[in-house]
Amino acid sequence: MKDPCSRWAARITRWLDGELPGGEEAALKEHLTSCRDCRRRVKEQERLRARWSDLATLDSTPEDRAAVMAAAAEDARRDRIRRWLVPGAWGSWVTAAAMLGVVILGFQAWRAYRASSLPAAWVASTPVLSYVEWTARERGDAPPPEAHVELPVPF
Amino acid sequence: MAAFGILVDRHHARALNVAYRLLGDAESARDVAQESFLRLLKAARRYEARGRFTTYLYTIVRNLTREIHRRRGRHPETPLTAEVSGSAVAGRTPDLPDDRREQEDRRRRVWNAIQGLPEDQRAAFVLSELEGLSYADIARVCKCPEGTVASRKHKAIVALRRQLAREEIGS
Repeated sequence: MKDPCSRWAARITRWLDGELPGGEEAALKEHLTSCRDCRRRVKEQERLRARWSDLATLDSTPEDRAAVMAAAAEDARRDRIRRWLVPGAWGSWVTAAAMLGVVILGFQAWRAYRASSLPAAWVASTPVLSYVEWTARERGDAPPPEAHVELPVPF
Repeated sequence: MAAFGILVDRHHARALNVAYRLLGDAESARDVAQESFLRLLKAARRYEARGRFTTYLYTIVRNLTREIHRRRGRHPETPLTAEVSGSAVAGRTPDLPDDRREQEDRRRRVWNAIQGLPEDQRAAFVLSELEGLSYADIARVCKCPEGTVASRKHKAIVALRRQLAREEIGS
């Protein structure tokens, strides 16, 4: 058989928790004045709640707290290393320098490649002295700098 | 780090005990309490003081205990009855006087009944009844509406009443 007061049961729990809104509280109190079963429910819940009032607790020992602090210090140390390995603000400058280096090396390689197939004068007209150019001069294959001919760089 | 040390001194016992009541065993509770503070420290820069600090701490503890429950794939193992009284005595305590032993048995029954609740009901029960949080704070910790908290808490009370009544009849 369905309990006619079942809708009040949940409200009793909320009321005992101090969580029942004002309007509902007044209605519940009014109901309690006329309902013996619900008054019994209230008493029963109060008795029940007293049963877990003395449940065991764990002690937080100084060793426990020291262990937390030690673990936190170890974490912080690992974080510092991680931050150093994975650069933050200065990382963009390093990246830019690395990219510039790649561009210069690429340009030099390109010049070396071209030097193998173009007249020495062409190579001499470009601003950076490459290893190939230098060796060509050493061998006497390239014209001296003061005698070089202005030719357009082909790019 | 000094400020963090103060936080640990002030709130470690709280984190430890709520983890203990949600998990049912002391060893895991100590691990969870420690991990909670480490996560707290990592998230310190992102922390916004919108609610109470303890609510934030409870949220971390609860998330960690849920992870453990998920890993276990079921409700936590049978709680360690030896720890129920806070003493290192295994099972029944024959050396104690009868009234003390009866009290210990009562505590153990209550503890086991709480540990037998489904995880979400146990969280609502522990946070409300044993930690004294409001429904609004529990709703924040459990990320659910207040009405759901009220419903879980009531179901937990009903289940505990039935379970304890059954055990008393049985004993």
